[in-house]
Amino acid sequence: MKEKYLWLWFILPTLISAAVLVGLLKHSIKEIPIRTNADLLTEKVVAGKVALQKYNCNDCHTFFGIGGYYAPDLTKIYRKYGDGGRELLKDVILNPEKHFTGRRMKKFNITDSEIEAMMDYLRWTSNINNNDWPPVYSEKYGRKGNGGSNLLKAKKCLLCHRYNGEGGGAGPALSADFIRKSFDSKDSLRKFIINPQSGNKDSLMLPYGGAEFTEKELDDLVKFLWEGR
Amino acid sequence: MDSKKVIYFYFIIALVLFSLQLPFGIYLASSYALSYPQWVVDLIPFSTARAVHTNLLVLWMLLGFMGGGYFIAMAEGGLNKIFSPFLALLQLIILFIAGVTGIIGFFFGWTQGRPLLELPFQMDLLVILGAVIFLLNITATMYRGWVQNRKFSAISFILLLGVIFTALLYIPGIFFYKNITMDWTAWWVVIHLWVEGSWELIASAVLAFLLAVLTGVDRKAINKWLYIEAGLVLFTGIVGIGHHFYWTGHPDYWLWIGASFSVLEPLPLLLMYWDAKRHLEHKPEFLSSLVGTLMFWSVVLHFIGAGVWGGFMTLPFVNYWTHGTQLTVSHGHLAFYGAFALLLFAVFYVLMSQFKGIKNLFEKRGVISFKIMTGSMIAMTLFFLMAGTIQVCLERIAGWSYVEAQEWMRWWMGFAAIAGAGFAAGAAIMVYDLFFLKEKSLNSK
Repeated sequence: MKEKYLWLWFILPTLISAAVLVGLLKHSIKEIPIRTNADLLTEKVVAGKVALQKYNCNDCHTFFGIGGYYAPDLTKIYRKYGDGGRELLKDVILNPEKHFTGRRMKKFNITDSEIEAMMDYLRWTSNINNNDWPPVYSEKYGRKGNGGSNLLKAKKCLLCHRYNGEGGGAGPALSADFIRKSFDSKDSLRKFIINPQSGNKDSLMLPYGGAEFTEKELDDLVKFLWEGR
Repeated sequence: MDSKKVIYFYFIIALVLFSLQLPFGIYLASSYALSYPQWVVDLIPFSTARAVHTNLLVLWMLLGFMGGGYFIAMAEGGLNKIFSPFLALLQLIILFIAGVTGIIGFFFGWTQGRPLLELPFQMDLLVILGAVIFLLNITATMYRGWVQNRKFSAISFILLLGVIFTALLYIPGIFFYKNITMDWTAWWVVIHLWVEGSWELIASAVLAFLLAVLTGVDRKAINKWLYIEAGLVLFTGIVGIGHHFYWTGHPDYWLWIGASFSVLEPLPLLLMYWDAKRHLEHKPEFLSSLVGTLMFWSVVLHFIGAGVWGGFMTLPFVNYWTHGTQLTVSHGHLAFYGAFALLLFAVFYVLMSQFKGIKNLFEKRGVISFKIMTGSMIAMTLFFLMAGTIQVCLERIAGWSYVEAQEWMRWWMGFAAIAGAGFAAGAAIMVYDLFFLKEKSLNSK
């Protein structure tokens, strides 16, 4: 090719690629409101995003896996706690020094309205359809471990409790944090599951005990709840 | 005012900011290895240190490229001064103030809270002012070269497009977006199209300029390869942005489109390596000199770090497991060091010694610092790779909790911090050397 026209080698591929990108983005941007449930994006939810940016959360944590790798991904963190664990999650953010002893989080002076908005925002992000990422919360690959989450389903625990964003709201969400706060050992957790009223006479939980579980299943379930995986 | 002196100031400031970047990096890596007490974390949280580390990187690289860009515009136009050295100095001061104020502000919580684009809106306006002055000044310089000497080369053309795109692409990043998916879309338009688009244009123009001036290869060959490489970089890179849309709430067709274009992305980098190597070998004594070594390793690590290592991770079935782990950190460090840092060091050595009138450079210190820095960076990359592999296996695949997986990565992050300290030592030698360049004495031969 003549030297005079060499620049076409540069300009043409660039224009083609740019046109493809613009076309695809145009379509994509139309799809985004559906995949993110943008209709639920109220003023208060957006206030949560403002607050998260104010404290620069995203430079330690990631959203969609982007940001700082110093702390867990927050996109679907709300699923771990659920509505029942909302107060606990708030306490983790407000008083990190109570919850973390190894790797620590900065203690911020977050206002009441900010923390509520953050909760609503995290609840909203946890339901975005992002092609099933991260794997931990995935339908297909999530939380393999010892089959504990299958047990929760099989034994109908999820009728009352929430786990990993699934289940009912009558009982508390079964996060490891909640479990460890409520029971001083695996043994007391085990006793409680067999006969809830022995640990707390006001408990409304049904005694599942011997009838429902084999010893092995009970061991697996206790280990699973205690370790959160 | 002397243009060369102003450009020299750009390089000095860039080197100072580069030196400041490194202690923050060591602090970041060490935070993974050690458990700092609450008061340290409250004083300098990881987030602030990370914001400083990354913003300093962007700032020093942009200042380096701007200084180099001014020189190329001047030299390629056959001129001996840029359009307005005064404006160039003013622009340097504005950008320096914007950057340094912004970075100090991070320590007091003054931030937009979006990784890499943390600079508050007011500082964004200053950056834009600086960028506008730069664009006007460099365009006027090139225009003068065309009017006076009828000189406007392929290198100038690619460089000009690179700086214009860099400035334009900054704009989507300064706004607030309500929807997080839209936010990341805009964010990647800035970041991805910068580092795999406009910055690559600037880098390939700078590389072509150095090859043309230093090796004496025929201009026609240089121009041809520059156009083809730059065209391929943008062809694969622009739609290649799709590899950032896999898990961010975009439709799933991006998995196919992003992957198809991304697998081609290493191709132009391979061409760049092959073509630079051929041209460097055209003049063997130059290839073995300090600047030749810097350029050679720049294209090698550019290809390995950005092309091979980065390209591997853009495959959706790999990325699903590796996304957001220390593997990304591993790739990022090697890619930036190869693609931009080493190339800028080459520019600094060539131009700063020329400005000082040095004919036969004393290279020993430079060579030692290069070896220490490159060795440390490769080691650091491997340590991050180990940490990242552990993270992928435990957290992503086995489904352990984040914190438990991190426990097993501690040692490797500690080694990365040590490699970082090694890198800083090498960098200190280089910065000192660049500040006090000298002639090779005759009896030292």
